[in-house]
Amino acid sequence: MRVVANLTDIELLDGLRQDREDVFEQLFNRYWEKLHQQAYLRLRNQEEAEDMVQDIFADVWKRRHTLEIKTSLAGYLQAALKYKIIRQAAKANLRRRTQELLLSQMEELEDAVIDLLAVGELNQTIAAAIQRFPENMRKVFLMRTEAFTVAEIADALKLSKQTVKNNTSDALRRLRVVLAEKHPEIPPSFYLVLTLFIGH
Amino acid sequence: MKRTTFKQLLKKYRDGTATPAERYVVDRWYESLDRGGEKHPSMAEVDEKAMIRSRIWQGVHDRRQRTKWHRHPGVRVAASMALVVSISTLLYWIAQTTTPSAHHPSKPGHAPHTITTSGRQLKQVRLPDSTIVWLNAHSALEVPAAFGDRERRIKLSGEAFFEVKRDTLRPFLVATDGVVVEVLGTSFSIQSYERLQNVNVAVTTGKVLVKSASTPRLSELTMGQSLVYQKATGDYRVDKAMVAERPSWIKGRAELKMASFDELAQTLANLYDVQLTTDDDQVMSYRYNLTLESTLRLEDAMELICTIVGKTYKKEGEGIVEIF
Repeated sequence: MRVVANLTDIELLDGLRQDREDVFEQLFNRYWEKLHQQAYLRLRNQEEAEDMVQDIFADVWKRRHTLEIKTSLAGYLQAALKYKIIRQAAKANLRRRTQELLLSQMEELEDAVIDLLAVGELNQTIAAAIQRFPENMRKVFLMRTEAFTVAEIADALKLSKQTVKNNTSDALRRLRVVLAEKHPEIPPSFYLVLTLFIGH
Repeated sequence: MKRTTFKQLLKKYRDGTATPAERYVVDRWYESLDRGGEKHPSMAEVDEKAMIRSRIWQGVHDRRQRTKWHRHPGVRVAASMALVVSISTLLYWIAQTTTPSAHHPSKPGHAPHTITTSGRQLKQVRLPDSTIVWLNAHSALEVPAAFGDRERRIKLSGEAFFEVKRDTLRPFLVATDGVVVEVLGTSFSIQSYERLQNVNVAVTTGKVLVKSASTPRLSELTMGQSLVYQKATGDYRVDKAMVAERPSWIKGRAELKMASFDELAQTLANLYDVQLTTDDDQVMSYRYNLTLESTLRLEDAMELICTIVGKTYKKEGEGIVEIF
């Protein structure tokens, strides 16, 4: 076996293109632990973490002749992991416990965003803005922040679903105008997130 | 957020059809998943790390040979080539990382999964609950399809060491010749070879409950205790045991103390895949104290045994060794 030591990413990729198993093993040795750690932290399941890491490295070998790395190998592997986790979670291909964990993390994010609405000065601005909403719009919006579904709200307020949707998006638009005026420090992404969690 | 909404959101992200808001949320969500950089609990241990590394490396090889990707959320068996090197044992490790895809644990009513070892073979088995089982040579572990549904019940013949994942809701039960060992989460070993008269249970950490067919609570063992159960009579005794972190056979060492001829023969079968026989009463009734290592050649091991017992040996055809 040839001795390979401390190759750069580019040299590693060159080696892979020449089908060199020893180079592949060096690449593996260099990156497996970090990647496994990242997978484990996100999935909290040893077996699934191992599965993902195995897949990613097997993929690197399979695509060795066409692999183009834009940033770095470490960056490429991280992106591959992200893609893999999202793909598996989208297909609900993971163990139930893992799937629940991923979902609950999204819900935490959602709660954090909605909680943000209820903090201090922002809260007062919002409360004042909501007070000026027409009655239906106010009710709809408050129920949306309580995680009622469109159908549930439509049912409770005897409105059509379309009206509930329109009211929600109008409320968000108004809120955005008021908030942007009084709190220019709020990043646009906040509104994006708000739109997604409440506006749907 | 509803499960379906969540899945749709991720699907859109994957397809590239997500709106900027959706992309933003998925990105933040993914970032939030690593929750402040806690380390993997077992990576600090060198052994464990080497094991994980070789399991993954082996898996990469397996996947390279397969075109289609199968998920095997069930029982996994692996052997660590790195460990073989690091502990310099000649034991023959076999990686059997795949389970037939028909063995999907979510489908009820199919056959149990059995993992067996032959002579000169050890296997490390990861059960679906992340419990690790080391299976000594000439042993079999039977994992039912319903493993983990309400309880984690398995069957063992031969010898194994268990590092049981703690789960207070689902007790872990090992059934073996006449004895059932129940634990919540702990590490312990069981020796229950068919040819041996006794079943031996030794606890490394935690607490186990030993039951027999006739007695629901035979004895409760804690760290550093062992129980010897006589299969013929149902009698048992509890001893203080010098219990190492892991039994020495995992590293290819057999430490025999006051061992019977049958125990010696079992050890030779495990280490060398030979059948040891004798017609000599003295050899039969002798109590053997010796340590054998898999790195020792069979001939050297036999010399040693014959010196101890004052006899000679001969090879009798295929894999049979007789002391006379």
